[in-house]
Amino acid sequence: MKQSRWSEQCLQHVLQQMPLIQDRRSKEEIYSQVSSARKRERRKVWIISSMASIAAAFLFVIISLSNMPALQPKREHVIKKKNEAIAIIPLRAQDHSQESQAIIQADQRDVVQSRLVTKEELHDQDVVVFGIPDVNGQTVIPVSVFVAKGEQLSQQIENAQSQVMGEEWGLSDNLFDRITISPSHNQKGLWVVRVPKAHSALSGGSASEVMFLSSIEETVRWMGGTSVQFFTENQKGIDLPNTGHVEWLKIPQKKRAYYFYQLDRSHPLFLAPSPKEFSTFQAALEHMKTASDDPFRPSIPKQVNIAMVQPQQGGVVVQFTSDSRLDESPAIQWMLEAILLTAKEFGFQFVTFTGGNVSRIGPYAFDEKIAVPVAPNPMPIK
Amino acid sequence: MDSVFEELYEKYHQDLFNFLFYMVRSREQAEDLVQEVYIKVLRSYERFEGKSSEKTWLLSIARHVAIDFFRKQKSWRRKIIKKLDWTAGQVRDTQPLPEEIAIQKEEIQLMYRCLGRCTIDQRLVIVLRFIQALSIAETAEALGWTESKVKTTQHRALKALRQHMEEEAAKGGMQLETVSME
Repeated sequence: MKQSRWSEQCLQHVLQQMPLIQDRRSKEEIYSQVSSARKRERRKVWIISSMASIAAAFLFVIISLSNMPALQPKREHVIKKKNEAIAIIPLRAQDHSQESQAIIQADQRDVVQSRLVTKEELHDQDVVVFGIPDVNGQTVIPVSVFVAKGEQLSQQIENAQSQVMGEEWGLSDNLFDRITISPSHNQKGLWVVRVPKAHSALSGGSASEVMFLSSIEETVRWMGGTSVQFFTENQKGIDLPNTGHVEWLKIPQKKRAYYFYQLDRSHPLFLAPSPKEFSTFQAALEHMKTASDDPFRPSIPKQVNIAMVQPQQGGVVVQFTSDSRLDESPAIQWMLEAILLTAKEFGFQFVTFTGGNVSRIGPYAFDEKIAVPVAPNPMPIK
Repeated sequence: MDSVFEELYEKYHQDLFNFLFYMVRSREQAEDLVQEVYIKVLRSYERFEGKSSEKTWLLSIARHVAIDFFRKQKSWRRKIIKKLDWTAGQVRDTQPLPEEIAIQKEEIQLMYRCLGRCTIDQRLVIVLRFIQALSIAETAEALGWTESKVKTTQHRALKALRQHMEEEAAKGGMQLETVSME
């Protein structure tokens, strides 16, 4: 085999010779530009703060009027009946779905690892779900970590935190490092998030701040929380350079679709919730076939078509057309899992898959009720 | 002039600028971003508690500013790709070499090109460790990573660089000689 001409030592030697690139502007020139930018910024912050207050007020009103889907299956069921009874979904084919299948199928042909945590798995353990941003900070992905039963919730969370290996999993660094998340003793649904001073979450750019808040939101939502109170050590609130002072965060319940996310072939696949919400389960399924926004891949392949979506006594029937190509590939099993998770978002308690000329895909029997999962993306993969 | 700015400028300005230049690979962008670093620093200087060194604290802010820049750039590229119905592969960095690099010997020019092919994390580690000459511990502090993550990323980065160097050389764009270590 041919020997590389570039040893590690050799590369380091060249790197150390890279020229020092100097700023040609004077100190005075830079200071003057920084000063004018700061003046412009102060005016902008004032305007944004006022708008944010108005938006927060609206959000609070909307949240007050809405209901948690998991707690309101009957009401949801009635709405679904009106909107979705015997609907044929003409799902459009997209090139992206083919691309995602190619990546995924090539990877994990041998063992299809479920991307769901089911109730059966929890008989002797609990699960903690963390919202972790993807590597480019474009979305937040819920990841489940198993912990021992019987310990206090805050201890379970701490134990689970130590198992999160974001980078190894193809996600971002552990944002929760040195951050404590615990339920309030005084108020149901309230969670307390305590951040140490000088934490990286407090000094990132605007995108990092959005990802930090989204991660907290996703984490607390999966714990069943409805609001978060922030502390910087023992002081109320956190100061985010771009967002400003944040003391409270309301956790809205959402109805989302689930797509595929996978950094590359050497990293596991995750079921990733859509950033946007959908008004109906049917609309969410349609988008699972057509999703093309980076970093997502469609979770319903183009060779699969859904003929009908029919709500049924707290659950929903999803019927595939007879010409759908449902095989035993990982992508097809994960598609069913993405549909199960999406059904959970819409308050359904079980899903019955029918049609497609198959009786079973992996662990999922067709024409039988399958309970929606407890949580997505168990990690690490066993 | 703000005394905090003056002190930080005297002590760290050229290091910050050099770091940002090698990260974003454009003098103009580095000029804009270094200003953004000062704005953030001046806004939060009173919160700096001295738990880390001033230099690694400044570099950690510069790192966030650079990552924010890449995110915005990525979103812009996506919009352009969509608008023009191009494939991502067609939108490439075709900028000529900066003059400071263009006047250097071929290995340096090649290394500069190959650095641009590394991932952002890999580039961060390479620039901090070998161009800025930070220790593993200082790099970990600036990036908010563990030392073991710095070591792993450094290892992967050098491996990737080696591969890029071989590939570029194989393309025949440059007639290369191995750098002598004697």
